[in-house]
Amino acid sequence: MSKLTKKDVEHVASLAKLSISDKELEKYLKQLDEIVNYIGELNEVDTESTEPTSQTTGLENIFRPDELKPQQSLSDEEALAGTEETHNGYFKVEAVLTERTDK
Amino acid sequence: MNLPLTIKETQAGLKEKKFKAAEIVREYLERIKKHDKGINAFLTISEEQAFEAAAKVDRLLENSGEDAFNQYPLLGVTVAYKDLFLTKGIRTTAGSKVLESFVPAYSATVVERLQKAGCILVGKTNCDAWAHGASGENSDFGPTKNPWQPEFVPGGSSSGSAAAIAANFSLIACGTDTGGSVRQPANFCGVVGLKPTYGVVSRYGIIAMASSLDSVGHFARTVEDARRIFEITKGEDGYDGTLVNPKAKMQNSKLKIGIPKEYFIEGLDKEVEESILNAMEVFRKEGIEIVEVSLPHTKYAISVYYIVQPAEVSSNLGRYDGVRYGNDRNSFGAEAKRRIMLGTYVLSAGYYDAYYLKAMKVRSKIIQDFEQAFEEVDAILAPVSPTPPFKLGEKADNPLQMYLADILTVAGNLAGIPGLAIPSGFTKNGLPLGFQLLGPRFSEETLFSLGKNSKFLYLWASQLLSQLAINIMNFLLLVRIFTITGSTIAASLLWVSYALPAILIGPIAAASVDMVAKRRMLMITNLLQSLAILGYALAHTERFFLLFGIAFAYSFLNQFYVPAEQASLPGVVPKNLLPQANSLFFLTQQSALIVGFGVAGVLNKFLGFEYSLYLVSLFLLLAFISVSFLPELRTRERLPESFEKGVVKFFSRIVEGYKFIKENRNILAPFLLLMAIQIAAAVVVVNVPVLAVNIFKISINSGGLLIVVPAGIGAIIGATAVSKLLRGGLRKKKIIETSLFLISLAILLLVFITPEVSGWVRILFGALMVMAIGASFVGVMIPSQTFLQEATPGGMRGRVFGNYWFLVTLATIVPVIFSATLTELFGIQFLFVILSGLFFSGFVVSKKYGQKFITAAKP
Repeated sequence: MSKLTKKDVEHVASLAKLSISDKELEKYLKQLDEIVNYIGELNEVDTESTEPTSQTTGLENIFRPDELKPQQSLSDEEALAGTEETHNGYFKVEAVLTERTDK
Repeated sequence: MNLPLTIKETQAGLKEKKFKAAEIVREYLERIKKHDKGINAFLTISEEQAFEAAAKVDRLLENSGEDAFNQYPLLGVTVAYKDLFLTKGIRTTAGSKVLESFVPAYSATVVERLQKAGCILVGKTNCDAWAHGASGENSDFGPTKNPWQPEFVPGGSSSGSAAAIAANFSLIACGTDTGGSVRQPANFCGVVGLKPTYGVVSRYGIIAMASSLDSVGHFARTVEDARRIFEITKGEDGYDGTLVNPKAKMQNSKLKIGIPKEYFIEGLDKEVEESILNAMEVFRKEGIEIVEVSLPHTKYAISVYYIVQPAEVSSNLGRYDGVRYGNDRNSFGAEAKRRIMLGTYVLSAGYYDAYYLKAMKVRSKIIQDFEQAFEEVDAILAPVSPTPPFKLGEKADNPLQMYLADILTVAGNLAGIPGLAIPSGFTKNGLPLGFQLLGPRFSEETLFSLGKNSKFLYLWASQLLSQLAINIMNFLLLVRIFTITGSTIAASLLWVSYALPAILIGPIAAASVDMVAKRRMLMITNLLQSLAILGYALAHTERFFLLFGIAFAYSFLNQFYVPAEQASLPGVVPKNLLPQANSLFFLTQQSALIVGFGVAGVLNKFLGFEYSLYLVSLFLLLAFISVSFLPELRTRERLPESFEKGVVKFFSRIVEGYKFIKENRNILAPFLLLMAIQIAAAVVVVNVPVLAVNIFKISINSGGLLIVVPAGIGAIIGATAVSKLLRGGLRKKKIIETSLFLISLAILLLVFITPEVSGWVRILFGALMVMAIGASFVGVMIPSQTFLQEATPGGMRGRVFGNYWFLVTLATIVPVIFSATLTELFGIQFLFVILSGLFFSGFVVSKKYGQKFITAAKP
């Protein structure tokens, strides 16, 4: 298995929206590399004819009627209780889109 | 105040108004305030809510009395939740700074259900942040310490929940087990930890770690308590789509346990290994078959787990953006970041097939291993962690080393099967040891019943040792007295020395059994008996009367031991196994009689009187040690305020016992039967010398070998057969009646046919008849005893059984003397005709009226 590089760690950090310092990068590179090498041992196992398992319940497609149950829903106030950044009963977020600069 | 240690104790105390719910809550909170600074088990204490809930419990009890317990099965039980469980209005942090001030708007299903069952929430417990860790050190709010020794870790990730139970900060606690996070801290803290089958307890409202692995588990001090919590939390809730209502599985009557050879890995601590081997022996001696099984893919479990789990973690922690609640992603601690990155890596383009898909395939192999193993065995016994608790900081800098601490627990999560961690003792450094039982999916009940049995064994070991001791001593004293005096009257006085304490203090001793913890009673009596005999042997005394004295002292203490042992049995054995347990105890008594009498002669000859007594003393010391492993079996009652009150209480309890027996016909019948059979046995035993000389026509000395031993063997055969028949579904009443009939027949055949045949056929026939009588006696005793135990409520058992032994001893004196006189005057055949007639009328009465007694309404 290929050795982990600094670029790999930076890449996954950005995918996971984590900001890490250079010092952290060094530390995580060493630790993650060690772990990735260890888990590489799975290559020894012959899984040619084995189906993957993603869950153990054996259940499939559990449906329920799509009904609104007010007593089981949160009120606006309750839903918004976790933040102070609200506006007219909505969550306030940073702008996602910026103006085009190439125009 | 002494806090109750189990749900049963708690509810009994509330019922009997020994304490109020508010008082328990105050005591727990005081303990937390006083001791938690050094342990750090709690992140939030919900004092106000706890007192409110307690007040509600107290009001309920006042208004509806004992009915409240039917409606609220866990009424008055204090609970602490790992801080991953959403609790409406109470801060929930997941042990992370990201959620340091998050207050949920709703509660998890488990929290709701336990609240509805009457539980009182005392607080939220510390844990590794987001449940990432095996030591509790990854909490963003500081590590939890092991209450047994604070420089050691309590295990993780449910560190605070396990520590809270070990430190007695709450009666029960809940946690989550994604890769061992309930079982491993339970193991490190010396408490019981249940990880149910995946998809049986709702994950709704519990902060997700790895959704295909997360199971919601429970901590308690006993397996029974874990079972009671699980009864409430299991089953569909309409929110968690992975839930099913587990169907009760029929349990195999003969259980088989597998030992997976792959779990005895290199680096497995020696003391851990030994404790597993000891547990294995415990189960083996209980008649559970132990076989080796193979789970060949075990070594890959940790790699599969550290791919699947971080992958799911990276997805589940993706939602924490700091917009709707909580702080932003910069607040994640080092371990969370590590797992998010690892998970993102194994899921990212180019690596998915090599890591994630591969891991899912090897997961299938691990599941197949378990499926194959469970075709052969009912459960698997394995260590929980390769080492006992390690020191804080020991593995903190090496994530891979920390991950390897999960090596023996993760496979259970990957397969979605249930596991039960049970404490079994301590290392020589005083750190907890234990084991886990793993079973196929939905086999929780099997695990519970196995888990409970291991306690039963300590009681049995004590019985075996003390029975051996008493029989060896009986014989030693008898021989000694006989050699000194040569008088049968002196020998019969020995019998009086044994009987006197039963009559004088039997009732008081029996009454006191219900007042103090039974375990302590068993321990003290075993120890004192051991010391008394040791003291006597050390004194090198030639004083003749001291021989009677030691018999008196021994019997005196036995007045406390026997009712405590009898009353303890239903507490450590599941109800459906009670008949088997009774059979085993009876069998032990009989084999100890045979072995004891046989061995005592040899010992006396080769070791001499004194050294034999040392051995007897040693046996009792071992019995003392084995009962010390039993759980606390009874609410501790406050001591009576004054001596007068105490005495009055003693006697009023005896009266209560008598009244209870008198008023309950369904108890009276088996009670009288048991007494009658004991008296009959005593009468037969007294006549053994006459039987030997007149019927068998052999010397008195050979009587022991040819009459007592066959009777004992018959009893063993009877005990085995009765237990088999009961398990096979035969009714107790039927067995009793058949046995009564057989006794009346065998007694007649014994005294009339035996003397008529000649040579060795006579002895053989006589021995066979004696054997049949022995077996049939058991056929009456075991079912009656089971009837009696079943029909007597827990708080009354000590009193009822105490009364039984008292009455038996008292009632035996006259018949024994009377029967000896009858034999003297009219011959043994006359006596046995009368006996046979009595048994036959017992048979007729039971046939005609027995059903009435059984169906008599309970109070």
